[in-house]
Amino acid sequence: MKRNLRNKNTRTFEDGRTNDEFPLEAEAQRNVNYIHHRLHSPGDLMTKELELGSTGLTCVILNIDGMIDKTLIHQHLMRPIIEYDGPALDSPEGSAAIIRIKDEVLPLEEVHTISAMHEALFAILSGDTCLFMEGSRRALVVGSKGWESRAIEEPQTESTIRGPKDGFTEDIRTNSSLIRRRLIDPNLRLDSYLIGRRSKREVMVAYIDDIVSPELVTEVKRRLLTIEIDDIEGSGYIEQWITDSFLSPFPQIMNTERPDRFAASLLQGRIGLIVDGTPFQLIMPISISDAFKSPEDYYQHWLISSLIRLLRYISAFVATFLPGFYIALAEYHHGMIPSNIAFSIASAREGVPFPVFIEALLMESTLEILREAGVRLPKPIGQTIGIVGGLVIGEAAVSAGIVSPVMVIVVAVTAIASFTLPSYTFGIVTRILRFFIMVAASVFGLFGVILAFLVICIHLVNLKSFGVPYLAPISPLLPRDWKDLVLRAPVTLLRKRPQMMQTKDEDRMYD
Amino acid sequence: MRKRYAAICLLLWSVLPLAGCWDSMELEQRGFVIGVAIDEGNAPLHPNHTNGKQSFKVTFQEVIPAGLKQEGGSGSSLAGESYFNVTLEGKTMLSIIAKMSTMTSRTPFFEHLKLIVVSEKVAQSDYGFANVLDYFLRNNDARRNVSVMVAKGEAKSVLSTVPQGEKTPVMFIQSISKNQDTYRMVPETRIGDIHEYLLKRQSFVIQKVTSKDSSISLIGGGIMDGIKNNLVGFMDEMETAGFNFLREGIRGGVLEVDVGDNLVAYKVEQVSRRVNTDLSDPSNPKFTIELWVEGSILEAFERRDYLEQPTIEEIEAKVNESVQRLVNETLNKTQNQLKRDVLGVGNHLKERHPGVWKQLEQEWDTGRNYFANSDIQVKANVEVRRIGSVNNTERR
Repeated sequence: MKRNLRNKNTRTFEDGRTNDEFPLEAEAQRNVNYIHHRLHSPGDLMTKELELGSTGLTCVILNIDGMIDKTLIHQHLMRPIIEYDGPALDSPEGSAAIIRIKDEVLPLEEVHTISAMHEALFAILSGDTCLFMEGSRRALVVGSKGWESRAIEEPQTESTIRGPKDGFTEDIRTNSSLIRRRLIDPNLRLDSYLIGRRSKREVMVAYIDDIVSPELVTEVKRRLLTIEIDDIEGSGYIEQWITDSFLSPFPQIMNTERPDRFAASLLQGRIGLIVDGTPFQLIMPISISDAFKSPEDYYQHWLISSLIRLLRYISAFVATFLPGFYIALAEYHHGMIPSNIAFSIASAREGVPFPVFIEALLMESTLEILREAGVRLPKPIGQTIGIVGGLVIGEAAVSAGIVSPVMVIVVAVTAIASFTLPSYTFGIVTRILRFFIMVAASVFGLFGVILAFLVICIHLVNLKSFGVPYLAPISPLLPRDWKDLVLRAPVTLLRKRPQMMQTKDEDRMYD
Repeated sequence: MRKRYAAICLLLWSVLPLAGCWDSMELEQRGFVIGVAIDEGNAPLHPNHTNGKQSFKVTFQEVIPAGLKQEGGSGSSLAGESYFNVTLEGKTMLSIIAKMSTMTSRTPFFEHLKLIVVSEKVAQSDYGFANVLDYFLRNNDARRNVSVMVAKGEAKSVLSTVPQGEKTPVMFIQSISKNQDTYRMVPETRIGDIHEYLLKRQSFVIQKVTSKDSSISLIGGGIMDGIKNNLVGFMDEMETAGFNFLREGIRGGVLEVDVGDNLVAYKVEQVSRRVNTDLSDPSNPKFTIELWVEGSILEAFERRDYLEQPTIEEIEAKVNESVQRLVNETLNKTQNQLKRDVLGVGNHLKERHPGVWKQLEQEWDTGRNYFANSDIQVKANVEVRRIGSVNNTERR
């Protein structure tokens, strides 16, 4: 079920045609010439004229060098044609002949016939091989995609200790095979779409037919088909296009590099999108509880998983609220700090020229700069940032009396805590909210922190991801799903799929 | 149109900083007052003059946070650097504090107040004690867990003692009063609890602090009158011990008893009490206070076989005797000398026999003083729980 988007560009060619949607001509050379002209005869466009055995029938093969599997073309396309020793294929239209070649001559499975120019162009540009035959108004497209791609590597952004070490790559076939290998289920659906106005990229909607809620599939597909953009460079474009609220800092679609996470999500009744050209695949719908879940939780003992999850919840709060809380206490509520700590903070702040808020802003910004620099720097220089940032700036700023040691501790704890979230995207949210809360704290103290917290809560209860409330299963309260919220109940007790996904098949286990 | 929206947004946004920040203050600009000592002032007072009946000389102890900081390496920090005292005179606390703000570099801040010491003289004066505490109770700055103590003699000198092992005299006194291992001190008296007593018109005991040659002792306690809320007398070491036994507030303490020719030290671990009342004559109630004392032998110079029942019984009898002695001293002090019920007997009556209490309430420990006339008997049951890790240290 491929959708062909009309190419809306209206450039005119020498013969006045405005697009490529016209039937192929019987004369093979004319078709070849048009393609050459259309693509401006690039150096990597390969053209090879062959004769079918000794029948005298001319065939022309067109493909783009570097995108094709050359062995396949040589062994299974060119050789059978050249070595053909069957009876001469003569038919007035040539169509029958080309179908016979497809069915009898070529030992290939991925062959189909086309009859329009734009199909031929698309096939060649996407790495397939086109075979034109003299006298035929149809052509053959041989699936010959084969290019250099990155090997399957360990996911860089979501590492686990005990989980599988394979990660998605940029190649959609590799990725879909990674999913298929995990879910050997006839109900697994991978519906392909070609998205993009100019460059068409393949996007696969993955779901398990008898689990997922049908409305959800319809909605995801509907949103997907609204995308009208030149090219979807990576899954981020799709995510931002089909997300429920693009104003919210909270991601409503999860991205993952891990096939195990992807497959597990499908089994929970979610929908996955596999996008060509990126190792980050999308999972939807999600709720905020997914920010605290790592696939590893299910591989380890439930006690340690539950404790680690609790730790993640706490550190998410620390990462978001600690600097704001510190500002509020140090600027407004001096009586709330235990006496001894108050005295030592006061003595540490002795001589610091800035108010606590400015000091915090200074240090948090420095941290963000360091982090950004660390990401951008080439790997070999990366360590330098650690030394310069950690030692020089941290240590020197304290001994120069510009910031207090307590502030350094606060910033450091915050930074470490924000890295405990398994999803990088959610980690970013804590960073954004942190600054918001710091401002609120500096203006209104703890009152402001609570106000900011309420604002966030109000926003969260209003947020939905593909119709699923973002705070589920906390609000609305779905007690069954609490088994896999902070507590990760023993596997044998997780008998049902998440209630919030409203799956067709609720049971994970049968009695 | 768009400009107008922008203007409205800007105005709404500016509400935040305008409404906020007004009470923002940096932590290091606060002058943390941790202790207050209140003495009688010597400002001239006009009799029958409305402008105050009493003046106070108040000493504030403020910490110097930088002085509290542990200097890396050199452990010896000079005590004089971690705090300073300011003494000022005035008629109300607020005016004195206002005066203080003009003399110290930092705004006085009372949320970390730990200790209020009231001098004997102020505590003895009519209503003076409640008056000086009014500011600290009314103002929401200070906590309700601030310790209140009565100083024998001058209160100011308490705040200028040399603290040993602590950074400031106030912290030093604080940590002494937290030592629960002795019965010679009154348990911590907090301003919140004292407020309760003041409102209930009930006599109570307050911690006493004595400073002598820049050393501090918290032995003993002050007895406060329930009606006039002034100090009526002090309990000495032994009377305090008896008081602690009677109030079952004891967590530890040592009784030395003679066994044979030598001493045996008995450590009190737990005391529980039960009060039995005999109200056959309501105007002359009879109380029997039963005490269960539990403890262990931690030091014994007398060589005996402590695993033997008779030995244990002998010790128990001896301890019983000494508990009785202590308790009787306290009863003598409170019932016969000061005639103030600080033992909670009246409270017991109020809780268990409200009818009788209603009749006696008005003159319980004043006027006819039913308390002083009541008959209080103490019965102690002593038990030795443990004899220690060894039976004997040497064979004699």
